[in-house]
Amino acid sequence: MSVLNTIRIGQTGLNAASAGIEVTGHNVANANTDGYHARTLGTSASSTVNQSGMWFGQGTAISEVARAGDELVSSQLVESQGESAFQSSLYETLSVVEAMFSETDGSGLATTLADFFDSLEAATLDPSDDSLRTGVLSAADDLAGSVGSTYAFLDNTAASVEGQIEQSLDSINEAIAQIAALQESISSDAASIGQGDLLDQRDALVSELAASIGATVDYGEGSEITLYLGAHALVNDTAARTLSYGTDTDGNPVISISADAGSYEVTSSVGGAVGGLLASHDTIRDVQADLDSFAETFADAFNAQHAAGYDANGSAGGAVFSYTTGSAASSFAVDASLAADTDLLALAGASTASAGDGGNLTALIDIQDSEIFDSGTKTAEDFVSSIYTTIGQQVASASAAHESANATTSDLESLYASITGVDLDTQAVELIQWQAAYQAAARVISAGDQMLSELMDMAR
Amino acid sequence: MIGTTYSSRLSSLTQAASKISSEISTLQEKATTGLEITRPSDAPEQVAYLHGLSSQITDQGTWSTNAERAMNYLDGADDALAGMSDLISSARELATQYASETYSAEDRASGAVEAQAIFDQIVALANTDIGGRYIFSGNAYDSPAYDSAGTYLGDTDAPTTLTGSTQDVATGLVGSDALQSDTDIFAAVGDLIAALSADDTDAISASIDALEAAGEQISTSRTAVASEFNSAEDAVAVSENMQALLNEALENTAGADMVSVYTSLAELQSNYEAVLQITASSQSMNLFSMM
Repeated sequence: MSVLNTIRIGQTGLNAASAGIEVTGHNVANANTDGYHARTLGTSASSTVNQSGMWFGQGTAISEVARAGDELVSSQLVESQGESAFQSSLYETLSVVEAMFSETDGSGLATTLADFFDSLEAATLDPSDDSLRTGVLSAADDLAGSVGSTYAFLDNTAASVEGQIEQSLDSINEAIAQIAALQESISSDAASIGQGDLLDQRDALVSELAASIGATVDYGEGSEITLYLGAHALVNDTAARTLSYGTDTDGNPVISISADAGSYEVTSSVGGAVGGLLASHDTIRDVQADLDSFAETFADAFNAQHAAGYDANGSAGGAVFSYTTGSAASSFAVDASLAADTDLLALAGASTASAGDGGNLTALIDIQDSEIFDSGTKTAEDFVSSIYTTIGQQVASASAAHESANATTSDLESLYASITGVDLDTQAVELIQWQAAYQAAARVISAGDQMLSELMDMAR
Repeated sequence: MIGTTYSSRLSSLTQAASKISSEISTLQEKATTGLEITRPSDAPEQVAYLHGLSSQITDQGTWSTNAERAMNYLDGADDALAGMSDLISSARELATQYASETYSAEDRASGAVEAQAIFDQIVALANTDIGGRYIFSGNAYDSPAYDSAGTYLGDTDAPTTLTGSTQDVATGLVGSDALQSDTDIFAAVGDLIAALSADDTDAISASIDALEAAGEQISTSRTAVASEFNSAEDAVAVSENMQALLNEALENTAGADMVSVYTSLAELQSNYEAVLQITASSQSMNLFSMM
C-alpha cells in the first residue's frame, strides 16, 4: 500500500464526484425538456489488489450513466397515447360535422323540412294565391338548399380529412425512418454515455407515432424495440417499413404498409389521430349516404303525389324535386321549370279545378305523416331526426371516450414522469452529495500529498 | 424513487386550468343562449322530441294564422248576410205595403223599381269580396258568385283551410247553399218584382211568405257562419295555448337552469383563480430556490 496509491484513490473519488455533478447538471438543464429521462451516475468499487497478503481497495469507478425508465409503464403509456389521440381526433372532427346540425341559425335540414310542410299548410288558405305558391317553392328551395349545403359541407370535411391523413403519412414515415436510424446509432454506440440522449429521441418519436397512428411498442433485449401497427411490424430494431396512402373504388382512404414484395392494406389496424380521422371519415360518408337516401326517397314520394294533382293550367303535375341517381343529395334541387313558374305547382285535385281546390295539396301535406323511410317505418321528420341523433350519439360517445382516454393518458404520463422526470429537489440533494464527495476526495488527495511531503522531508 | 417532478406538477395544473376553462366556456354559452341543449350531442336521446316540438310550434303558428284569416273572411260573410237580411226585411215590408188594395198600379210599378234596387243590392252583397276574394263563390272565389240576374256562377265546394293536423274551417261560402238551398232568396225577391210589375196583389201577398222564408234562409246561413267562426276562434285559442305549452316544454327540455348556470360559473371562476395561484406559487417551491 503506497501513499501514491492513496492519491490515486482520491483521484477516482474526485473523478466520480465531478461526473456526478456533471450528470446532475445535465438533469437540471433538461428538467423541462420534453421526453428527457433523468440520469443517475452509477459507481462501483474498483478491483482490490493484494499486497502483503491483504486486500486493498483501489477507489471507485464510474460504471454507468443510468437512464430512468420503466418499460411496462412506457408500453402502457404508448398504447394509451394512441387511444387518446384516436378519441381526440374523432371527437374534434365529429364536432365540426355536428356544427352543421346545431340548428342555431334556422337553416338546418330539420328546420327547413318543417318549414316546407308549414308552407304547404299555409297554402291551404288559398291554393291559387301566387304569394303562397311562391312561399311553397321558396321553402322547397330552402329544403333542397339545406340538403345540398349539408352534403357539400360534409364533402369538404371529408376531403379535408383525407388531406390530413395523406399529409400525416409523410411525417409518420419520416418518424419511422428516424427511429430505425436511431436504433442503428444506439446499437453501434451501446457503451457511450450519450446513448441516453439517443434513447430519449427514439422514445419521443415512439410517443409521436403512438399518437399519430396508434403504434405500439415491444421492448426487446437491451435497447432493441419492435414497433407495431396492429399485428404488423413498422420498425423491427433497425429495419423499417413505410406507409402509403391510397383510395378504394369508392374514393375512401386506404393505408398500406410496404412489404418485401409489394404492400398490403392495414387501414383497419390504424389507430391514433389518423385512426380517428379514418373513423370520422366513415361517419361522414354514412351521413352523406343518409342524405342521399333522404333526397331520393323524399323526392320520389313528393313527385309521385305531385304528379297526381293538377297545376293552375289544368295540366298534370310534373316533378317538384329533381336529383341525379347516385348523387341524390348533392344534386337535389327544385325542378327548374317549376321554379320559374308557380302556376306549375299542382295543388288541385282536378284538371278543371276552381281557385280554392286544394285536393292534391292536402295529399301533399299528408306526406309529412307518411312513413316512407326505412322500409316504411319512419316519416321524413323521423328520418332526419335519426340523422341528428346518430351524429349526437357519436359525438357524445367520442367526447366521453376522449375524456376517459385523456384522463388515463394523463395519469400514465404523471406516473411515467414521476419515474423518469427530473425532480429538482432530488437533484439539489444529489448536488449537495456530490459536492461533499468531491470535497472529501480532495481532502484524501490533500492528505496523501501531505504524507508524501513528510516522507520526502524525512529522506532529505 | 417515485415523486412529482416540477414539469409534471405544472402539466397537471395546466390540464386542470384547461379543463376548468373549457367548462367555463360551456357555461358561458348556456348563459348567453339560455339553452342547455345547443347541439345534438348535448342530449342525443332528446333530438327527435325537440325536433317534434319545434315542428309543432311552427305548425301551431300557421294554423293560428290560417284560422285568423278564416275569421276575417267569415266575419265579412256575416256582415254581407246581415245586410241581405235587412234588405229581405225591406222587401217584405214593401210586399206587405203593396199587397194592400189602397195602392194603384202606378204605385206598385214604383214599388217594383224599389224591389229591383233591393235585388241589385242583394246581388252586390252576394258578390262581396275581401281582398279580391269572393266569399260566396265557393272554391271559385277568384270570380263573382252571381250575375246580375242572381244566377249562381260559383263552385259547389266550400273553401277550407287547415287549422289543426286534422281540423279545418271554411274560408268562404257556397252561395247556392247559403242563399238558395231551402229558399232561393233571389227568386223570392224576383217574384216580388214580377208581382209588383204585374200589379198582382195575390202574387204580392204570396211573396210575403216566400220573403219570410228567405229571411230564415239567411238566418240559418248566419248561424252556420257563426258556428264556423267559433270553430276558427277556438282554433286560434287552441293554437295559442298549444304554442305556449309547447314552448314551455321546449324550455323545460332545452332551456338552461340559469340559477344553476350562474352558481356553477361563479364556482368555476373561483376554482380557476385558485389553480392559477397554485401554479404561480409552485414555481418557487423547490430546494434550489432555498439554497
